[in-house]
Amino acid sequence: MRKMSCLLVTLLVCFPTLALAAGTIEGGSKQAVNWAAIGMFIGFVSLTLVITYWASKRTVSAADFYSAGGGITAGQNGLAIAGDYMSAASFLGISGLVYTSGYDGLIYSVGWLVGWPVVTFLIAEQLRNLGKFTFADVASFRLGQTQIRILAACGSLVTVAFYLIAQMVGAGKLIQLLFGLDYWIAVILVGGLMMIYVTFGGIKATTWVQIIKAVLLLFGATFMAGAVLYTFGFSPEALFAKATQVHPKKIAIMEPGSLISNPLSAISLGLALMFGTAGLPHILMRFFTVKDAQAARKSVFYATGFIGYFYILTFIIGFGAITLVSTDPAFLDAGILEKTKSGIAAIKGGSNMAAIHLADAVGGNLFLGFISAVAFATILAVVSGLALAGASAISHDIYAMVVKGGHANEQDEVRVSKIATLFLGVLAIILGIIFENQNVAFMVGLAFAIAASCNFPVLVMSIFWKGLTTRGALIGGFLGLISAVMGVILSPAVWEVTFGFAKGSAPVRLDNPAIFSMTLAFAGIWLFSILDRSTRAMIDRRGFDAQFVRSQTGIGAAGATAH
Amino acid sequence: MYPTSTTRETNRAAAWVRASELRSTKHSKGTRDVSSYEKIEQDPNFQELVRRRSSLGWTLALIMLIIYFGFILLVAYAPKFLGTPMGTGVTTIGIPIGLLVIVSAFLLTGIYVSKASSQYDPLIRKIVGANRS
Repeated sequence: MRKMSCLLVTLLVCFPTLALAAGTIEGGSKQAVNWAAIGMFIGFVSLTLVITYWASKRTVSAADFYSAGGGITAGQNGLAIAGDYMSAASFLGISGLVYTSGYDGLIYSVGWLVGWPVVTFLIAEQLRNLGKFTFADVASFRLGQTQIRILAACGSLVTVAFYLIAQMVGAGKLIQLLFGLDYWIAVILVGGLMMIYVTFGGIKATTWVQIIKAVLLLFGATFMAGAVLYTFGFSPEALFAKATQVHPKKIAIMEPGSLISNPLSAISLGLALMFGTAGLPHILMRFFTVKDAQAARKSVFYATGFIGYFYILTFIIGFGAITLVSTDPAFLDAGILEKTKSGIAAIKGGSNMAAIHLADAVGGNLFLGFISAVAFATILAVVSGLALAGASAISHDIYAMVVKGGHANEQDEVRVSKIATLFLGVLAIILGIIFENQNVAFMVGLAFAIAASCNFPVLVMSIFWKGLTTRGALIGGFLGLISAVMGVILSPAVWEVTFGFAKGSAPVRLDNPAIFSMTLAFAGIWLFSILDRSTRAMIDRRGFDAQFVRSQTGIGAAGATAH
Repeated sequence: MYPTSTTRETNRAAAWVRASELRSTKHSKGTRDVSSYEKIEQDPNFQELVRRRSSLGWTLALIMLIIYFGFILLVAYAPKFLGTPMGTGVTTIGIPIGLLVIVSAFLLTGIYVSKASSQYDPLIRKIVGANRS
């Protein structure tokens, strides 16, 4: 553990120096170095490094590393799941969306939330009863290990990669704005801390970082929304009335706008948001960290409560920003204000900064520092979870189960996942720097579409349908994966905006392919399973009953290891 | 049932199933009899558990889907309805409807968890108790 303390010291020593260096070359869209923010951020990082050190002492076996030995309680896991979901994108992005379009922001929040009840009702308990470390454990329970593990690992890694790039680029941009650090320093800092948390502390450290951040974020958002409502005498009507007066769209911010243009797009997006949730590997792995199925089910209940509450807060925060930020010249870019005459368009740093400026408006510099530090912490916690999910796919599914045929030495398996984490961390840093000036918003959509079209169908069919065979899962899963990727590439958002082809030339008119890629995946799985007459298919079907009994009762499930 | 397979293949398949069961239980604490799942399947408690869990789970999932896609269809086809002001103020009917979707997600999950704790868990305890080897 000497290496660990060494890194800790280096990091703490370097941090203010880095910040100072950045301060001298500040310019453009960067802000002045915010010492309150940096102080609180250092506080947060120190605390999480202490936790990582504590967790590393207690992380001995593979079960400790991947699933915390099943020792996370339902309440803690609920906060961690909520933390995974309350990413910087949803905190800053949704409040920014409410700031620019009002009601439309609520439509996104609702879509992100409603996946959770469905996860609870249909798969949470079965996942815990069947799985050990990764969702591939569940999908390959009675199917051909090699093929299904490879499919699941592909689905996991592609999802994780796109999500990770989007988070890294977002992190770099955000930190540049919040702390006045250079983009590349910010990306390396995030990547480096992520590697430390995951390699030393495994899921225990990753979970605790997520829990602390979730508590801080819920506290900060509650304070902000409370302050906004206090300004308006706790009358939402007064808040909305003022917002409709000052917003250039006037009363139109109180109803659905142009964000969702056609019904098919709306339904397709809804499907991707709802079922993508149930296929994201870094979310699914959280079900293996609790004691049993009962705790898994409860943790989703808590998570749904926290996330729903948080989204209601972001709605108030967005409207608060319309009334308090867009009317205050201190937060606006004078040049743009001159040109557009709109406080909404002129916000410094773009609409994603609405919540950050609001923190300054209601709580002054100290609270601004707090919210900035929490926003950075949010990114760190989410990328750590993603890196761990990706590393588990490599070490547990590919190395231990496919390469070593399930007979890997536990220490070797953990070592491979640490190496995989370092590899993913370096890759994320490089890709983060390469994609600096690219529009990466589509990557999150892509991650959700792939999760909904490859991971989710294979998982749900393996749990519920006796007729599923290895061949059916393999063909259907890859059909979903490929059609989701193609659908996103050929969509207007990527074809016209990112690639720059003529407007209206995109071969697919849907922004999100989920409606047809999910259909294709399910149809492929069904068709190639019922046509499958191989010996393997017979084994697959015969294995269902034993799997079903275990999925329902938990008899034989990987137990919690006591320490 | 599988006319194309030979007896030899069937035996090989059965052996594989047994082997994979042994493998899947090797790491866990449970020391159950590997063939006991057939006995559990016949257990009336198990059959009741499966019936209750699937009817409650799918019913609630269906309610959630109807609420959510109902909301999305309102957004897509009737945005003006959601934009109807309530009373004399600026607050539109869409605000409480959106909030209700969020609250319903939480309430439905709560209903599931409380029913599951009061109904499934006692049944599961009975099944596990009856089949402990």
